[in-house]
Amino acid sequence: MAYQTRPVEQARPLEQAPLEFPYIGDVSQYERIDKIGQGTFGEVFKARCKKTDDFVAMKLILMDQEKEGFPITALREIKILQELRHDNIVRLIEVCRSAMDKSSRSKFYFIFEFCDHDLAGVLRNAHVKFSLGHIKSIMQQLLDGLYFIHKNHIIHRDIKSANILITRNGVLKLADFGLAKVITPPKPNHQNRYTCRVVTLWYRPPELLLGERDYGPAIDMWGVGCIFAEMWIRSPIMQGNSEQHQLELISHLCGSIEPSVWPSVTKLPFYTKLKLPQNERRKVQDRMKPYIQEPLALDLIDKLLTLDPKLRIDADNALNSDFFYSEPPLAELKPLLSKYPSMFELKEVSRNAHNQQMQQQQRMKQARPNVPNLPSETIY
Amino acid sequence: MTSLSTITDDEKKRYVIISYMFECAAKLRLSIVTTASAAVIYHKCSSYLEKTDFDQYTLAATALSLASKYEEEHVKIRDLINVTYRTLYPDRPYLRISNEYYRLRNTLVDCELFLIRILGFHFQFNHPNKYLLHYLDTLTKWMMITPSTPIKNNINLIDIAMSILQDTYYDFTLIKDYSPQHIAIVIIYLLIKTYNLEIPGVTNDDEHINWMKVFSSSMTNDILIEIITRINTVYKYVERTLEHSSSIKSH
Repeated sequence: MAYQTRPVEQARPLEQAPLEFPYIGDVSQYERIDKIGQGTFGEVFKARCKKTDDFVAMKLILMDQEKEGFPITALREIKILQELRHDNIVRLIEVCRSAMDKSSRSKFYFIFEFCDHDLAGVLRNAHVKFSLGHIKSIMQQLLDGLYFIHKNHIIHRDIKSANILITRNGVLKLADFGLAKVITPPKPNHQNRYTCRVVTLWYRPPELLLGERDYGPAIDMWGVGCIFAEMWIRSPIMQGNSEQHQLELISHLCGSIEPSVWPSVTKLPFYTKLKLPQNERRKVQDRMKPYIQEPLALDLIDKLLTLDPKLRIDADNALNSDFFYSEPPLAELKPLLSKYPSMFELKEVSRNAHNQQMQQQQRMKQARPNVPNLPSETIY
Repeated sequence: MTSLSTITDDEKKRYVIISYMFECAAKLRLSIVTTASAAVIYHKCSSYLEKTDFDQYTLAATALSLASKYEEEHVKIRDLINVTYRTLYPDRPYLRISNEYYRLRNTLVDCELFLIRILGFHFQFNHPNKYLLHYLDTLTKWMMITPSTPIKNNINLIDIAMSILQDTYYDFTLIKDYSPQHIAIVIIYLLIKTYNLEIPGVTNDDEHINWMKVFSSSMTNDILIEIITRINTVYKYVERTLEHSSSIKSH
């Protein structure tokens, strides 16, 4: 148990070390190198451990709501990361604190193992060309990680390509458990009331957009479907600019949201409040066929992007899909990725900023706001 | 190691605090697991801060706050401060939003960070609860207790087991020196002896160890005797200590 294994010298009584902070590691043992991530959650830095020379990723724990004390979300993230140990889950090395200055309380940092790339960064780099074997390997590892967390009654709630890290050895790691939650399995007479304002809009499943509060692992599987298609399309496939717009994009791709394909949808709070496109045909396969030649991949994407969360394929069944057991076999990612320096979305976006602006302008000219982002030409 | 049948002064002080925590937890309607986690956090931190004059009631309130967050039973900090304050000072007027309230809140927030550091972010504790329930469930099936058997108004059996378990959290020795599986087994043994329950295949006292070994192969008669001794000691002294401390309060 923790208190028995702690080195004795750390257990000094308080008054002997009034200005020091015993008990947990000091963040100054890591040397900051570069900023590699930025989001609503805060900043992530690449750092080097001065003792071991290993690279680590350092993430500040935000403590804005000091009114309620240490944030429950951070505690949740720590709890989940401590309990989960899996090859495809990012490993938490320790939690550190900074020295306190006069004006403020000390800050806490997560220290993670360092991964060279994030999937969003890799996908935005047009030089990286995936074979079908590579894509199978990435998707299988992603599903392996998700299968593991779902089996442990945890849902991630922020699946997107920027939260999927890949080491230079080609091992995929699911990261950012800042929104993750332990869920209770459904009970007949009990309705969970989780917040539905989770998951980045472009990867948000229809049930959350319609206000479902008693959701489950299926919300992560929708994100997997989006990422799956993104592997070929190379940018997020449905880039809505509001909840309403996102639902329109979904309807245009997956067909109208109606009770005939999703019986319980009528019970969702916003189903009657929002105007949903009518008479749309489901055309996931048709629209993606030009970019994705592999029929088994199309089939799996189709099952992942199922509107009704009850019918959506789960991680276990997705892993058993023929896609992973057909020719060509899974390919090692290491030879492909070790050729490149670090690729992070933050960096790739600024590198491609000019490029993107041009694309944006073109998109504006074409004025097709309601069409999912399937480019008119293959990107590669 | 201190003797199992005696209680130190420091342990007596803790009984008062744990009793205070249980009272606050009940008022805040915290679940038994959250309450138990709070007790464990308090015990661990308190043992680090031994020989300091760190205020034990602040420690207790902070442990409740952290446990409520960790076990996903979040209590608003305002409620927590009000309840802990009123329980400690039943004669004073309600705490208004005032400078004093803000001072208490700041102290609590600072103290939270302090305890988090002491624990090194390790809050998880393997509680005996789940073992107790599983063992009891398995054992009653083996005993073939049916609804017609008097004690099989079984809710009582579970309730009593859980009450005894909750009372073990008064004592840090029981928490830190014994495995949760062993604690659970001993509590079931106490139930069996108390209610004269019969276990098929057990004809004399020495044979009880057989079913215990099924649940936990590391269980021994020595451990059984140690834990029973300690639980009895706790019961003996907790009551005395609390009577003593409340008689001091009322004077």
